Amino acid sequence: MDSYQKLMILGEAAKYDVCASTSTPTTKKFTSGSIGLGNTTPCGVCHSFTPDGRCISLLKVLLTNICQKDCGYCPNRSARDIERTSFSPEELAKVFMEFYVRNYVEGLFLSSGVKCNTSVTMDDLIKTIEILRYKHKFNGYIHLKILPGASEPQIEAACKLANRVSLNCETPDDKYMKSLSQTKDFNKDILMPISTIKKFIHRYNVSQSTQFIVGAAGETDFDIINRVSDLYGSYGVKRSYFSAFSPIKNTPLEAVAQTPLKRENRLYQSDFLLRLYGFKVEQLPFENGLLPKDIDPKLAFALKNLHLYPVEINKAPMRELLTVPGIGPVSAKRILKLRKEFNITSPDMLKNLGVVLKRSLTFLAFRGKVFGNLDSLAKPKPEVVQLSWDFVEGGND
Amino acid sequence: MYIFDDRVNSILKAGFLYAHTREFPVYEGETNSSLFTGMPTHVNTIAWEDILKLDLGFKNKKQELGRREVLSIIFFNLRHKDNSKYSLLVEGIKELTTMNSQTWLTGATDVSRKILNRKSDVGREIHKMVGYVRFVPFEDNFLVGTAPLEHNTADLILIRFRKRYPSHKLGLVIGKDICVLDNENNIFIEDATPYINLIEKDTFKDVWKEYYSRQYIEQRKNIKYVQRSIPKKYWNWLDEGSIIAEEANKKY
Repeated sequence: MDSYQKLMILGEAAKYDVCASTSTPTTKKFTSGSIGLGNTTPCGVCHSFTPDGRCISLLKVLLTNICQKDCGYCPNRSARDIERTSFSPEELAKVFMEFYVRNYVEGLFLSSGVKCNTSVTMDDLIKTIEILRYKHKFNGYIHLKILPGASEPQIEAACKLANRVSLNCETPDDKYMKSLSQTKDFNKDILMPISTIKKFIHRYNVSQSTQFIVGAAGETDFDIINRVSDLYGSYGVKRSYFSAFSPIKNTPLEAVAQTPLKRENRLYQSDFLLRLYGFKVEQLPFENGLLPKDIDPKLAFALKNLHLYPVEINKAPMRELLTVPGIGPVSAKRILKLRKEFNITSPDMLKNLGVVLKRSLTFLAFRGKVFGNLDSLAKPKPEVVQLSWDFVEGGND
Repeated sequence: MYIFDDRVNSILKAGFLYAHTREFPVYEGETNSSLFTGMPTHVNTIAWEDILKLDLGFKNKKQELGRREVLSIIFFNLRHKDNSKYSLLVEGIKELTTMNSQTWLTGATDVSRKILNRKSDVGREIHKMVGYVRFVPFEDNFLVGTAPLEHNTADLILIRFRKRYPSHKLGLVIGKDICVLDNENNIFIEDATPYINLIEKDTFKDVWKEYYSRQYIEQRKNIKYVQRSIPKKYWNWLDEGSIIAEEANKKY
C-alpha cells in the first residue's frame, strides 16, 4: 500500500474529529531567520469546505487506525472489521509536507488509534512532529491529539512541539463514559491528562481544546455545558467542540438513534454565550436539562427574562448589550463608540453597525421608546430537513 | 475646480478641499468625460500647509487621518475594482473632517459603511485566495499558482504568502500574465505561458480530490453553507469545485 492509499484510509478514519480552528496569536519558531517553512496566523485560514459545510484547514489524519480500545461509538474500535493500516512517522511527515508546500492545508491535525499501548503510540506521534519541526523545519500549525492516559513527560513533549493539543472528553463524566467504553477511566485517562496539559499551556505557548460526542450516552445538554464550563474555568481548556452522535454499523451503538444536528448547533451557541458573551451556565435556558429546540439559547434567555428588558441603548453597559438578541461583541463595541458622540435615537442609526434589527428591536429602548414586535420573535422557525443517518457508513463496509 | 489622482496624499487633499469649498473635486482619469471646461488646479500643486490654514480643525484632523487604520482603509479601497472608488473616498474624507474618526469607523454613515464594505471585499479576496490558491512546485524553489481575481490584489496575496514561504520564489498566474514575488521580495510581471501548462499537467490535484471526498460526511450535507464560504464563481476554478457541484445537483 503506498503512502497516498494509506492517507485515504487514515484521513477518512479521522473525519469525525472536529478541528476547525488554526488561529493562534504567535508563531512558534523552530528555526531561525528565513530558514524553514510555514507560519501561523491570528485569524486562521480555511483552505476548503466539504459539501457538508465543514472547513478543511488541516490535514486531518490518524497515524494508525489499529486500536486496542473498544469505544462503542468509534469507527476504529478494536472489534470492528475494517481495513487497518499505519504510517511510519517519516512517511506521514513527508506526505504532510507535500500538502503544505502546495497550500492545500494550513497545518496538521494528528491523532491515532492505540496501536500496541498508549505509550508507544504517543511516542510515535511525538516523533512525527519532531521530524516535521526539526528535519523539515516546519513552523506552521500542528494540532496534536493526546491519547487518553498519556504520561506527563509525553504531554510535556507534545505541548512543546504543537500549537494546540487536545484530549477528547467525549462524555461529561465517568458514569456516561462507562456506557461508551469499558477501557477508559474518565478521571484517570481524561481529566488527569487535561489537568497536566494546563501546567504547560503558558510555558510552551500552546492551547488546549476538547470534544464531546453528543447524544451517544444519554447525557443532557446541561451535563455537557456544565462540564464545558468547568473545563474553561479550572482546566485551561480554550475551546470545546461538539459532534452529534451518528451510529456506525458493526458497533455496539449502531442501534442508538442519531442525534439531531440542531442539538449540536444549540450547544455551540451556548458555548459561544459562555466564552464570548459573559453568560454563566445558570443563565442558560435549560428545560429538563435540554436546550430549547425551536429558538436559540440567547433569544430563549431574553424571552424568559423579559423583566430585564428593554435595555436603554444609550446607557446599557457592554454586558447588558450582549444579552440582547441580535447584538454580538462587535456590534456592541460599535454601539459604545457611536454613542460617545451621538445620542442613538432611532433604529436607523444601528442599521450600519451590524446589529440584527429584526431580533434586537424588541429588547432595546431608544431614549425610552421601544420598537419591535415580541410575537414574531417567539414564533418557531420551520425545522430544517435533516437527512437520515441510515447510510452505509463511509467506505469501510 | 480641483483635480486629484490615485495617490493617498492626493485623495486626502481633495477630501479636505471638498470639505472647505463644497466643490466636488474631479478624479484626473475622469476629466475628459466631465463637463468641466476651465483650467483645473491639481491638488498636488497645493501645499498641505495652505490647506490646513483653511480651517482651524484641519491640522488635528489631518493627524487623526494619518493613523494606520484610516490609511489602510484608503489603501484597500484603491485596490477595489469599482471605478467610483475615488469619488467615494473623497466623500468619505470630507465626512471624516466633520466627525470623530472612531465613530466614522463604526460604519455609522452610508458612505463610511460603503467604504468599509469595499475594504472588506478586498480583504476577503486576499484572505480567501491565501486559502484557495494551490501551488505547483517549479524549478529551484519556485511555486506557481493561479487565482481568479476581481480586485487588484495579486501582489498583496503574494506578500501575504511570504511568511509562509520565507525562502521560495512565488508566482500567481492572472490571465496570460504571472505576477512574481522573487526571493529578494521584488514584484514583477512576466508571460505566464510556461507555467499555465505546468499547472494544468499537475496530477497532485487527483490526490487532493480523493482526500477531500473522503472527508465529506454525506449525512451532514449542507450545500448552502458551503456556498457561503466557496461562492459558485470559484467552483470551476477549485479542484474540488466539481465535487461540490455534483453534490449540489444530487437530489434526494
